[in-house]
Amino acid sequence: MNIAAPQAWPEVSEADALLIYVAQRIQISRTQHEAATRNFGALCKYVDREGSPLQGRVLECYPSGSFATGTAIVSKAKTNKHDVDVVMELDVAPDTAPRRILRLLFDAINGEEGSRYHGKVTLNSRCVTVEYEDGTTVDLMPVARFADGPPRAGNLFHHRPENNESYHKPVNPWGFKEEFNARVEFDPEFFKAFEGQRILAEGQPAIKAETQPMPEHERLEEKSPRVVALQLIKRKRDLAFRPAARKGWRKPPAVVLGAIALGAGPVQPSLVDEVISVATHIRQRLKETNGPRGTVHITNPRYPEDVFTDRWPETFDHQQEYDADLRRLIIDMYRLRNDNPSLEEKREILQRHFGETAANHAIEKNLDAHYAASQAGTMRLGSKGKVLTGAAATASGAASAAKAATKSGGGFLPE
Amino acid sequence: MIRSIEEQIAAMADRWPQLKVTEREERSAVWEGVLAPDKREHLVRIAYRVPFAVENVNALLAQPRVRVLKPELELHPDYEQGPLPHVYWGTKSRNVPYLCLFDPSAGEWGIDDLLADTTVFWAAEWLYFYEGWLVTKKWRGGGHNPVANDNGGQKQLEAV
Repeated sequence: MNIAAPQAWPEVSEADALLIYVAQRIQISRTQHEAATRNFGALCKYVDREGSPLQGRVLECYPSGSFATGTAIVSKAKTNKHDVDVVMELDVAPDTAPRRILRLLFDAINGEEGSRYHGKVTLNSRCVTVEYEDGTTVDLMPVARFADGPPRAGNLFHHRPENNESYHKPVNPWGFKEEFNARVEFDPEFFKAFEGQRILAEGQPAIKAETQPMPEHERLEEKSPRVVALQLIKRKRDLAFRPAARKGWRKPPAVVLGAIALGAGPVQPSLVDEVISVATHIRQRLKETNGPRGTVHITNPRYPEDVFTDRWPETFDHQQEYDADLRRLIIDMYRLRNDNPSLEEKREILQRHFGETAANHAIEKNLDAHYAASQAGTMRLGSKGKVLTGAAATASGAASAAKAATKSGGGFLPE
Repeated sequence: MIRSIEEQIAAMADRWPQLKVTEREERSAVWEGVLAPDKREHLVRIAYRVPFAVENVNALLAQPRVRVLKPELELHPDYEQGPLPHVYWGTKSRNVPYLCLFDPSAGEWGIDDLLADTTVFWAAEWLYFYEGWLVTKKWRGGGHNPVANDNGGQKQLEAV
């Protein structure tokens, strides 16, 4: 049940409103979140089942990546598909051969013909992917904890036979999740500005010893503007890497973007300003070349041994290409905010960076909001009938119609 | 109370100075000027005649006639509510659309209303949602849809 907060809501600029509608469109819904929770819980129990090659070896499973930091978005807005990353901590020696661990995990899930997940499983270089009928995927990454060292730090297992690669990589995804969520907090002003509602707290579900629950589904307005800005930047990234010219390129990992964003300074009060701020800060870091490939070097803030940029960017050219993507995003966010673009121009900007589905959704929702305002008698017009929004409407003292009206029409009218 | 044409002219000059009187007779006036609810400028024409008190005033017939002179309103039969939502067509010039800004049967406008407080606002709003219709191919400005009966004429409007 939602509760409307008692105070009046702050005005929101049109640019911010459009970005929040884009963000709405790319969110994982509560239903999807719950389905992901069920899927990942079932998978983890399945791997630990009697008769599994990893029976009794599963210590803990927990979501990592975007689901853990609240930055998950759909991978395809039209179909609402999404991916979930899960860490599976195994009771195995951290120096076990990577090929063996990944193979065991694959066999544990794939099972015999006719079994639950048979044929829906793919073996990758660091994880095993399970694809569900609705197109969503779960990536299960096996990790073996270190006996000594920071809590939850351990080795992941990398094996890529086609490149003759096989090694262990120290990681601490749990630590990064804790750090990120501790530093990116709920913002009451954002909440008030964009929705002004609360969800009554629900009791926590019972926690199984070996499975940590998915973070509770957060409504959009409960997220920090930094999280929402990161979601938009991720969406921009996803679209930028779709063209054939970038086939085979690695995308900047979400953990890299998230780790950099933590250093982007104070959260801006406006979402468009926050997108500009975070994107600008990422661009500043992309000038660095102190990594082993002469590229940027980003590590886990909780565990510096965990290098987030070990595989991306592959070359400095790729780093600069992504820098150019962000530059174009920033330029268009300034245009959206400052240049008073037309409805069509706004749609073009949004489509260019966030895709057609999200852009159309944003424009339509914005029009709906204006219609609601016109019916409520709060649609403000300036001179020449210019539709005003946000602080401009309040500051200018512009007026609204004396009363609302219902358009009808059809038929003929004598001149 | 019927608003006189002098009252209408004074209110328009005060609130919408860019809408200039281009024709004037004893009980009527025509204004022309620009409305730009989005970025595009629309040259509109608003014609209004104050009815005589003795006339059996009908809001549908008494309403101001609002046209868009430039740029011409686009027709898109394939868009939602195409070819052009919420317009009347002239009985003489059948291809001339007049904006439908209110529901005459709902008492939303009357001859005691100032055009400056109603018609012009509603015209700007109509044009804003028209711009939205061009961009999205969907009419998001509410209103009733006309429904044709089996005889092909216009029946009672169906609510959206």
